[in-house]
Amino acid sequence: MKILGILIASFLLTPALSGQSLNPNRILRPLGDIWPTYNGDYSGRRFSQLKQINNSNVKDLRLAWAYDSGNWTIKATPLMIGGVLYFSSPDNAWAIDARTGRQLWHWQTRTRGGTHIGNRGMAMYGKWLFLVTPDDYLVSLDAATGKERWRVVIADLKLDFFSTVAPVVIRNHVLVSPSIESTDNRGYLDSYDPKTGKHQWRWYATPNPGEPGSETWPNPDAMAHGGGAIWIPGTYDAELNLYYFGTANPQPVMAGQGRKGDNLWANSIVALNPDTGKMAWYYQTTPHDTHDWDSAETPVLFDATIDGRPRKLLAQANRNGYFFVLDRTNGRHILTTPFAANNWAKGLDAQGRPIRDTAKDPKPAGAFVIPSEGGATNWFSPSLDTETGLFYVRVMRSAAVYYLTDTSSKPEAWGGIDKSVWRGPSSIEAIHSTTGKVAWDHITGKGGSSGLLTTAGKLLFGGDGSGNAMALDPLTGKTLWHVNLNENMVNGPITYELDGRQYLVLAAGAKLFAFTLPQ
Amino acid sequence: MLSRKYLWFAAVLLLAASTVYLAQEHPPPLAHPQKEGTRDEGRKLVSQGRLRMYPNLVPNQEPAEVAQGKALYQADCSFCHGTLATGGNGGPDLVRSVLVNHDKKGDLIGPVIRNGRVSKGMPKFNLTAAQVSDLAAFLHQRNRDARLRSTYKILNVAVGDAAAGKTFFKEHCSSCHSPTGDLAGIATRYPGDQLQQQWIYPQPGPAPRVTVTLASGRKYSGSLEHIDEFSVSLYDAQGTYRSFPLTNGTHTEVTAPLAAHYRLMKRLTDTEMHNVTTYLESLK
Repeated sequence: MKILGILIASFLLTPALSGQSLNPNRILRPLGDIWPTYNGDYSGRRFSQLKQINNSNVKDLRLAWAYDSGNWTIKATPLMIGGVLYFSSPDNAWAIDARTGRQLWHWQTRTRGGTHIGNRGMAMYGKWLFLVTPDDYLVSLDAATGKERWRVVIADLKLDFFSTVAPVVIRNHVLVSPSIESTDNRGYLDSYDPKTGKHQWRWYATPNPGEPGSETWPNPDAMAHGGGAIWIPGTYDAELNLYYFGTANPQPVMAGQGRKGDNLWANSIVALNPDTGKMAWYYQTTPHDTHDWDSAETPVLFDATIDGRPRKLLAQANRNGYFFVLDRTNGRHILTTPFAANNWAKGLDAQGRPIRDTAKDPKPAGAFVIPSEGGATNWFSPSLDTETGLFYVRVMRSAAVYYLTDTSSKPEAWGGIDKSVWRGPSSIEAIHSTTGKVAWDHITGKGGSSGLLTTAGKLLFGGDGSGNAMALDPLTGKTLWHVNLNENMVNGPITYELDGRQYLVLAAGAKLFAFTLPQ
Repeated sequence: MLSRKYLWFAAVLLLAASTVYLAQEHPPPLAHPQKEGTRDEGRKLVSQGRLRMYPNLVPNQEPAEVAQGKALYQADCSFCHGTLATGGNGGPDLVRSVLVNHDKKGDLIGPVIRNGRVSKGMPKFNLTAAQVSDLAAFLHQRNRDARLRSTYKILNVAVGDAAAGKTFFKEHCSSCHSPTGDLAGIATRYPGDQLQQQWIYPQPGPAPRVTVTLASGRKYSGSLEHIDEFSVSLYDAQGTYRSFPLTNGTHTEVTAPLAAHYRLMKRLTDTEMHNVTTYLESLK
């Protein structure tokens, strides 16, 4: 009767939902039964040890469930903790059952406005979730109920700041940053207390007058409005206690005549201490940018042996068309190689930074530039497979004429515009992480901006621009599986194991799809 | 050990429980939980045109007020704040100003104008409420125009050497195009910047042709509708739509009609671009 009692009780109760809590230390362990952050773990590699789904059985993958959010395109990478998926889109958040796709709750907020371009997802600390909204709130939700705990304003909406980033939790810090579209603002990274929402520190992406870096700006006004927004969640090395992220373009975007100099720390990879917000080092990937070459792309952390010495490294495939590898302990340059065609740089300087060809700066009568403003890649999550040693990135091919429209000595906002001339095929490219050599380049046709995922099952997941979700062989780039979902996969796919079954979850349009192997 | 009686009882209980459970799991159809998103405020505002998805902007101001505000601005403010309100002779930039960006119809700008900022060298201006509101309209419009790059005016693109452009054209373009044939009067059909983009690589351009050869050897040709790694589709000469899975043994051959433009584009210099554009701009 006792057994029966338990049986009945468990049947009467809602499905077992214990365990939807996240100790930040858990993020340091390898991925498997949870996917606790935007990138899975802190490394940004988006590589999972799971291999139940592998290169020999991936062709048998079948739909386990689908969930239609009926809302914006899902650009968020979901979290999966304790059998529940958490994901968000502008002004919205959901919890759904990771086994069945059933909705547990849906949180929604009335907006004050702000650019509704996308939302990259949430972060979790204990039983609390965190997300940002287009109108610049950092909101904390109760993960069990979706009830709002608190909200704080992280940026001035009236100054055209808007928020898309997925927060990152490191110990008792919630790291967030607003985006900038056109108004000449100064980018920054903020830290908040996960319990109370109390502000802890702020790091500005441009220096104050007199500080190191200020010599790369012509005057205090240019510096104080110099851009460098942080669009994409960063990565973290717990041993070094350094948080890594990229900063976006300087402002005004395309008219550089009012901000002569390198414009630090715009378009840089930055390492800082998450407890103090103090910068440890920076490396600028595009000095004095005039093409909107954000350096916002995920800095991926990995360890490898170079010249016989084990090294702690960081790799980034940059919007400007170059692949960078740095020593992540000190920011020293290791290699720079082009991974896509460009005509805006004349070569590399002694620090491995591309040398801008001033002839390709926007001009009143136009400058013909490869690629267009969207860049050689963009915010789409890359992946690094520790077994193949290859770095995978979505590559776009394009050309544009860049016009300078504001020729005044003090231009405002964009100050110029690029007109698309040609859009070529996109691809998924594999780059040797320690040499920068392209191992293979799988053309996927027009469009496509999915994130990527690799697994120990010898699989690489991604999507094309024709609504296909695909699994490729990470060594050769050969297609092993595909399914057409009618809409393009935009977010980063994730994988997790529940009840001994491995799930693959990805979004196409506003829908989530989960795939498993037949039982 | 459970007796049969208990088992029977348990089975009934389970059945009852599952009925309750299922009833709870299937709310009445009117609830439409999956449709909640369609009531979303942000999406509603975007669909109504009251909010721009990208980029978000201050709304357009009343043109008459902007014009009056502009006249006032040029007379009283431009000397210090610059003709474009981006700052000038001592006055700060008003486009990126925090106060101006927070202003509504002059509620914040008004007190500054009327009281001045004497310590910073800004005198008082004795303007009426309507004049303050006009000035605010001008500044907010200026802010919008600065942010909205799609409205930026492209300047003169015909800055090259027309004769050199003509020579380049003869050498690289004349096998397909003629200044007295298909391109006669081309400069009257496009504004300069569009002409420049269109001659480098026409968009959308003619549809590529495709021939699909099946494993059986059977061929289908037509205008390419779609191609990806897994399928190809076309409209044949009769206008019939056909699609084919790209399985083993199926071959496709796509003829890109713009291949010559592509080859030219890859080697194009800015000087050549300016020269050819300048030459084509003369074909009125």
